[in-house]
Amino acid sequence: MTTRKLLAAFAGVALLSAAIALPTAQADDEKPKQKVQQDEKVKNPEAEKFNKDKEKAKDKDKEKAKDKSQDDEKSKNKPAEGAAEVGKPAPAFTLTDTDGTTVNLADVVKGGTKIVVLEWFNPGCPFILKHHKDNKTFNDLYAKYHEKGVEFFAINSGAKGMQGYGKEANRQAKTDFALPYPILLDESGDVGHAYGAKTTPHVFIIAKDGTVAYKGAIDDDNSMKVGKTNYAAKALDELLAGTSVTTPETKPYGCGVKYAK
Amino acid sequence: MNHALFIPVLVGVAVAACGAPPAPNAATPAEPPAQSEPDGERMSQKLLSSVTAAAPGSSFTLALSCRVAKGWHTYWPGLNDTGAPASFEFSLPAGWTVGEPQWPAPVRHVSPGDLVDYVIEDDFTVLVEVQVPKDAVVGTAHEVSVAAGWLVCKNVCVMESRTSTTTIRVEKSTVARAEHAELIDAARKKLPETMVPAGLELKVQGREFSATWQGASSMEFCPLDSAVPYENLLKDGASDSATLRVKLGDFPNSARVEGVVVGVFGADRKAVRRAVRVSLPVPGDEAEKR
Repeated sequence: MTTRKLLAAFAGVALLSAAIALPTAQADDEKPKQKVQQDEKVKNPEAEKFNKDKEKAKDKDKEKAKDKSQDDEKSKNKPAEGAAEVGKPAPAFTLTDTDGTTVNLADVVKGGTKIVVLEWFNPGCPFILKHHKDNKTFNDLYAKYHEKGVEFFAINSGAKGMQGYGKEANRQAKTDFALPYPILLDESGDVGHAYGAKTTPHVFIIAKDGTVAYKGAIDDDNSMKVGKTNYAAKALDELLAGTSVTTPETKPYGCGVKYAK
Repeated sequence: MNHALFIPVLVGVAVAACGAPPAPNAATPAEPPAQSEPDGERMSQKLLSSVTAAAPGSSFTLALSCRVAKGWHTYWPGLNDTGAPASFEFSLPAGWTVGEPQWPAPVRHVSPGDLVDYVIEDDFTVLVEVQVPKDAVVGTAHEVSVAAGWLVCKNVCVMESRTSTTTIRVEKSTVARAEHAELIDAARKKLPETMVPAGLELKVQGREFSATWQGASSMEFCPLDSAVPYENLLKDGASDSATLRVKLGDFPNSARVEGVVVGVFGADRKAVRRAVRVSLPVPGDEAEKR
């Protein structure tokens, strides 16, 4: 008996967001119609332009709102929720890594020569394991881009009692994953909230001028397989080539960031 | 009550129900409480079939009956901020086909960080229709299996998987499997209604989708992904009245609001949730200008 394999991902019920391809190659074969629709969504230049214009308009509104809100001086560590907008300055932060070393984003970007990749991190999350243990997505990225002037930081915004919390667990993860870059601890979740980090992983790329150049998923496969397109690599290639980032924002996927309740 | 003791017992029940051995408690004194869950399945899953034998050219229903351990949730295949819906990989004989999995309605789940997800927290069943080809040979028996993988979370997320197999014979006439068919019928009643019932009014006007359900004490909108962007699901996705208003973003082409509207009737323990699948066209900007 020949057994034909069919894949009916639940995801098939609903199209995943424009940025995310169907989970596997089989799914692509079985659902050509849906794939086409997705491509349209991603590639539709009219829609892209439209969205960009819309973003610009939104930005203006936000600037106005910001001017107003500056009066009610809030905690400096708690900027407005989801303040990391593409094209705008990346929220500043100072955090300590698993070895007790302090990292100040401003110091890293100050010379105007470094690109920064931030990866929201939780060593116990199955999606982090997918990219750090089962595959070496981030280590490979680091190997390729660090020497080109790209600095990498993992940030763990998990609160006490949550999965992957704590200096010890993260120090262990750094060893286990042979992670070549620091894991910064953001127990209060302030930095996570400032960036609007939703998932682990959730990637933010900061251009040499200190503005957010990319935010979203690491790649285009939200299943346990590695995607065909690595959005971070694509954005880094474009930034290093001095061209604009063609996909500056995608829908992130992964475990929810385990913020304090 | 001592929850630390209570949860492992419940998980044990769920695991025993699907035939796996009870797992040891993986508690380590140095770890915070979140790490001390027992190892093993947080969600068990059983494969049911509406028939033992199917006639050539007929169709039957496979059901994935899932039990979620108390306090945990898994993801509905909608527009979630986090997590991922389970995946099913079916192995079927040549020529047999399987439809889209049909899910019961989820509940809205907002976690710190304004993460909006649509999850399932209780036992649930996902149904799929299998079509047997007309040229299936009478008298043969076939293995049908499904490899399922799912994410189950509370303050910890765990990926689990299971492959289940059942055998279906091809006979001249279909033979129902009574004990499973009953469960499958019950599961079918829990799927979102496909017809918009009397008393529920759905409307798309300008850049707003609204739903009013007479007698509902609260409403939820569980969106499926579509070309329509939603302005603020955190704010608009649930309402404490019989009316729900969801602001839509702009999109240049025509698109549809796709999802499930849930109405809650009655209060507290007597509350009844009713769910309806909705699909409404939204005229694009271009169309509007004309």
